[in-house]
Amino acid sequence: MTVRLSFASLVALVAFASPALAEMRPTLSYSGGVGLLDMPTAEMLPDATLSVSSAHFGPVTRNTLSFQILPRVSGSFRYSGTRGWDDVEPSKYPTYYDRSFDLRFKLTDEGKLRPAIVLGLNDIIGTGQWAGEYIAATKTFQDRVKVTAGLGWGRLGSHGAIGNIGDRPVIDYGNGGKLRLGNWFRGDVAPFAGIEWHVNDRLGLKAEYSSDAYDIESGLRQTFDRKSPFNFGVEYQLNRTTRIGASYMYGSEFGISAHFMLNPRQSPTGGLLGDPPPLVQARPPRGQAVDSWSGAWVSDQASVQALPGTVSAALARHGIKLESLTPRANSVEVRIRLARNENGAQAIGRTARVLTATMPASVGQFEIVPLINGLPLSKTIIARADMEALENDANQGALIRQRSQIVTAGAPAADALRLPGIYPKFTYSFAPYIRSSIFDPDSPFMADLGLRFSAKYELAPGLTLSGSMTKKIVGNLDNSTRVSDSILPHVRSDSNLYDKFGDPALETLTLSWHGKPGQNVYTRVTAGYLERMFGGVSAEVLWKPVDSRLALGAELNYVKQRDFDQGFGFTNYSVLTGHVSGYYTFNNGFSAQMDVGRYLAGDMGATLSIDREFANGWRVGAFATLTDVSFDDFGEGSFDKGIRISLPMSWFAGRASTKTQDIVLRPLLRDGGARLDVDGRLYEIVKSKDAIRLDDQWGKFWR
Amino acid sequence: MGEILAMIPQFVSLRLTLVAAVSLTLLAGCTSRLAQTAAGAAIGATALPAPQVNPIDARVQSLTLLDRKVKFAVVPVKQSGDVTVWAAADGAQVALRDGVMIWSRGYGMDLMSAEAPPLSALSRVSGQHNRVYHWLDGSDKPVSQLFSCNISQEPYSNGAPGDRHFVEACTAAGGAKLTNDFVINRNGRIVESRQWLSPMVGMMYLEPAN
Repeated sequence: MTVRLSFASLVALVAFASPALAEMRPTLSYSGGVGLLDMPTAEMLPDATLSVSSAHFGPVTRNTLSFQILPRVSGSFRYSGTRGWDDVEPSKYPTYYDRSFDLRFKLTDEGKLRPAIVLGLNDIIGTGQWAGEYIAATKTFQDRVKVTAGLGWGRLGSHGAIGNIGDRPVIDYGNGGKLRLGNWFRGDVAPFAGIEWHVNDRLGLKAEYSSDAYDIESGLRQTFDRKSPFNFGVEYQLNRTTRIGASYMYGSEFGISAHFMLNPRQSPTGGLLGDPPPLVQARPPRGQAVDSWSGAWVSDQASVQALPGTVSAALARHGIKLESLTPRANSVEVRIRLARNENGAQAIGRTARVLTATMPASVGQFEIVPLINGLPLSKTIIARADMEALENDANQGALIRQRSQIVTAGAPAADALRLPGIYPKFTYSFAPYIRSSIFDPDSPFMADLGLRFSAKYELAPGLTLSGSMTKKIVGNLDNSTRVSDSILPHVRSDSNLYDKFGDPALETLTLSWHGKPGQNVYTRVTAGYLERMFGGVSAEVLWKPVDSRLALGAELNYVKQRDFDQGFGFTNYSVLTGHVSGYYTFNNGFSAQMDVGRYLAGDMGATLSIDREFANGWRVGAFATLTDVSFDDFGEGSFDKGIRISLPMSWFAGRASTKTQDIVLRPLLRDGGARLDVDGRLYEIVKSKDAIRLDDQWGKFWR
Repeated sequence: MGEILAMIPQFVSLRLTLVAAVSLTLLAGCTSRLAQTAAGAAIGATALPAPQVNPIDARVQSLTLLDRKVKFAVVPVKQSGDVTVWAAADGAQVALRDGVMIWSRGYGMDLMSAEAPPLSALSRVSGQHNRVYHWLDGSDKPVSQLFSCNISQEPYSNGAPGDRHFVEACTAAGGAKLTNDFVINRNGRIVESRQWLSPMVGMMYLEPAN
């Protein structure tokens, strides 16, 4: 997991991304959702906004990540800590840490007279410390003042109740992680209200009446003294992304907050600087290049053999690697090697322009095949004449797409030309790594910083020997004294022992083979030390037509658990694990994946993942796994679930880069619902350059 | 220069106020020609860098990004009919059709393409036309905006004899406004221009490099 420092670096990135200010906007509350100070409002952020919020008052600290999932739906994940938990009541935790998850739904938009109305569910799946439901209405006046009133249940109905709807069962904190549908909108109901005034574009004032009594924090555990239901705050918008605030809370405590907002549609730089594409080069008139137009050059071996070198050198100037080239008199097929998170349409567009400058005039058709791990993922067929005709036309991206085809790609022709020395090829790299552990109640933040040596030896197309070693430089992960209490095989819950004894560690050492035996069928076999904790053999097959939104796959692995020192040895535990998977890409950037099968601890079940991906590589998603392991046997968290975010660095930096920042937020790794973490799985590779993804990214064809 | 000051550009922009403020600052320092008004005074006459690209002829223009307050030389790297591609030292490109910008590459939020009026439609005492700009938003998705534009000729006495100053004032359906300026010489060629590139980049100013 790369969580805590990733979180910190996310904040740093957000703070760095700061173009001009916009007009009045929704602001965030201390709980990290849209709201006043401690109370919510009925607003939504612009679709796809990702926000990070850190707010503190008295003993209470809340760090929250929120995402505007759809225009009318938003979600928040929160990690909170309450200090002084054992001041007057005994507890094993001096600070009580808690994870919680909220959902908000917009019921109505604001009209001329009608307010916006939002329905919210707080802490629906954690231990329930923050559980509460509400309906809030907000009306804006003169683009400067927002007035909010609402009704709350649960926590939000704990002060100044005006009525009661049935009984609200007392929460059994237990292991958390369970939905408590029976509690929603039950028990005491209390009103809350507040007002927000944007004095100008930067300065805002907030005042609210809170319906949260803080019964446990202020009453039972006396972590602070709640003297008043009124809260007052002042906020300042530092730049487009960052808002800071200070407040006086509950008549006794001061608070501070910092909120950061990002939207994938609003890159801080607006786009990439420099890195200009190649230009289309028109062919000379027929009369001036008779040989080139005639196609007679095909029988001149010297001319033909020189082409890969010329094309390869021209592509290399734009960071594109040529794998092979099959020249014919009238067409050419070019295979280029791309990274999974590289914009395929841009690379294809650049390749086509390079070909206009390098291929003899008789070559009228370009066929461009992107490859990853030797797999041909699609073939884009473009007429050279269209490249020449459309370069300067308005809306030329859509025009060239209309005239091009994206079809399935097969094996290269037998006489495909390769530059000598492409195989075998050895590459290696040294890079720093960060491994962190968060959400451990005993020590919520721990991390190691180290150096990773990676090497890859590509023996033939698709056949690769690769490995990586790590050496810790500094860190405290080995301080963890947590002993796994799991009653399942300890397939993940001993991760701290791998941290403690695995320095230096042989992380991976594998031989993998990727193949495409059929038109729509892809295969993979990987053997060796597959990941930190397991080694063995993994085999996979995927069915995915190039333009299909549906894909089906199956994976089977026989693995043994590795020794904690991450040398060559194994423990006695071995397991046959595998899944059948269905994948579907929706129209709007959403995709879903369902895996059904047997997990590492031998448990049977299914994982559902939903992701939202943008053309620029931004990705936000969530996953959950339910297996035949009972919630009690699973332990803390009740079942495996998490949130994952992928941020392309080029978006932040405004410079071409294929680096991404990947963040996975999940509770402590437990043993139920654990999947093997093998590199090079097929779907992510195949999907990254299929017709749907190329269309999604087509805007950059001419960039 | 009064006539130039009178037409403070209003840009379609996320950064409307900022851009306007910068332009005002730049305009305030103007002395004679459109060129100096737009760039020279505020940015200073720095030596032009030697472009590291292969020019197709000896022409050199000076390009100023008014919003970013940077000025640099561009040279022609490709001629294709009436379209010339001009490249800066770092390779960033701008394509002009008879001097009217139709695309850029490498400037950040680039103008991917444009339905721009032909030069003949710009050099009239008055006239109307539509203009469409195509960009990519931050998520790399195409976005476009349609403008309805009016041409007017402004008095101009600062350039060479026979130079005329045309103003293209455009308004989008949502009310966004922008103004492009062209100085056209007696041969009917654009010799100086101030043209809008994109919401994030703002105005580009082009003049012959001396």
